Amino acid sequence: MTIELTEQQRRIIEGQSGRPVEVVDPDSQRSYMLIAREQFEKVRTMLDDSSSAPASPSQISLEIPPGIRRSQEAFWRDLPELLKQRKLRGQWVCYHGDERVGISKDDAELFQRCWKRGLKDREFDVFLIEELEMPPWEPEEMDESLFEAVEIDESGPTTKL
Amino acid sequence: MKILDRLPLLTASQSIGFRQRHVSFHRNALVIWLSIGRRGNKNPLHISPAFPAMLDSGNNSACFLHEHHLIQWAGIQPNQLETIGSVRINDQRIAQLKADVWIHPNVPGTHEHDSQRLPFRVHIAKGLAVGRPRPDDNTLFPRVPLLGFSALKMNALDYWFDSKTGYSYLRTADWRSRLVRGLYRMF
Repeated sequence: MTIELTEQQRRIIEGQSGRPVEVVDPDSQRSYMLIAREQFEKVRTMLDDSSSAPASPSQISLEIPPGIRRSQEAFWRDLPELLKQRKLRGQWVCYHGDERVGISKDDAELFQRCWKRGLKDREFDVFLIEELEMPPWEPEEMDESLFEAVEIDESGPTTKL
Repeated sequence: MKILDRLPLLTASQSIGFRQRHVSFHRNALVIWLSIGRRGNKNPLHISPAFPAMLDSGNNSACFLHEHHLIQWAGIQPNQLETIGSVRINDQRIAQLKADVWIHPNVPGTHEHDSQRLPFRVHIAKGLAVGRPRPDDNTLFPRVPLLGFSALKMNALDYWFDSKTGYSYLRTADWRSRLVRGLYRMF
């Protein structure tokens, strides 16, 4: 979206010789700083929240809670039998440790059933009944994606891939 | 149900703002809006605020984002979500967390999210893949959250790209899916 300057505003900006101009919304009294596009491009990366993050240690554990792990082992043990029943494919099955809580077409219904029993999220897991190459707890290979091409502009020959 | 209607490819690089944050998206990207919710909870009032992400057919994880996105963008502390597995990417092992993703419908013909319509819950059976901060490197990877096509398959969502207009469409599968599939097979 672009807002066109009035003749008076253009003259004021030219008179500032490149210095930022403060613009105020008379209704909200909120103020904005108006700067030239070239200046904005220089500070853009500082404003961009996706360029970097503080290097802090991860807060995420790689360890699967024992209750979920036992549920995964029970599912992996039962999966061949579940797959033999074709009508179950594409449905969801829930395990609380060794116990099969239920099978449903709606995964949320199984979660509700567990929560009603007072189970915590770390004590059960819900699985899609489908062919699996490896047990759920084994790390799967993932491709690095998101190769982004940034086009070269006239202000500098920077290309990032 | 229509979820994405005439979603355009970005015609130019653009800074997209949300809640005092600004994120660059580049030309030809497909920008969508996601939220994260507790796995199995169908109530859209209990999900995170919406944040921008990219629909990425090259990503073989259902949903891949960085810990920074989870904490700062979605406002979710990692200890609220249980680890249910892991994936290996570039020899780095990263956790998969138990959560659902919600896709917000767009305002037809734009990449803006339509706050008047309810988001659609997408179950991610294997969990969200969440990238970790890397020692001596504060660049984010992935730079923006990604939604892969396996999430669409797992949730029976039909995606269609119209090459003439550059628009994308996403909707729940129904009788039209069978019709379109039949036409493709026939011709």
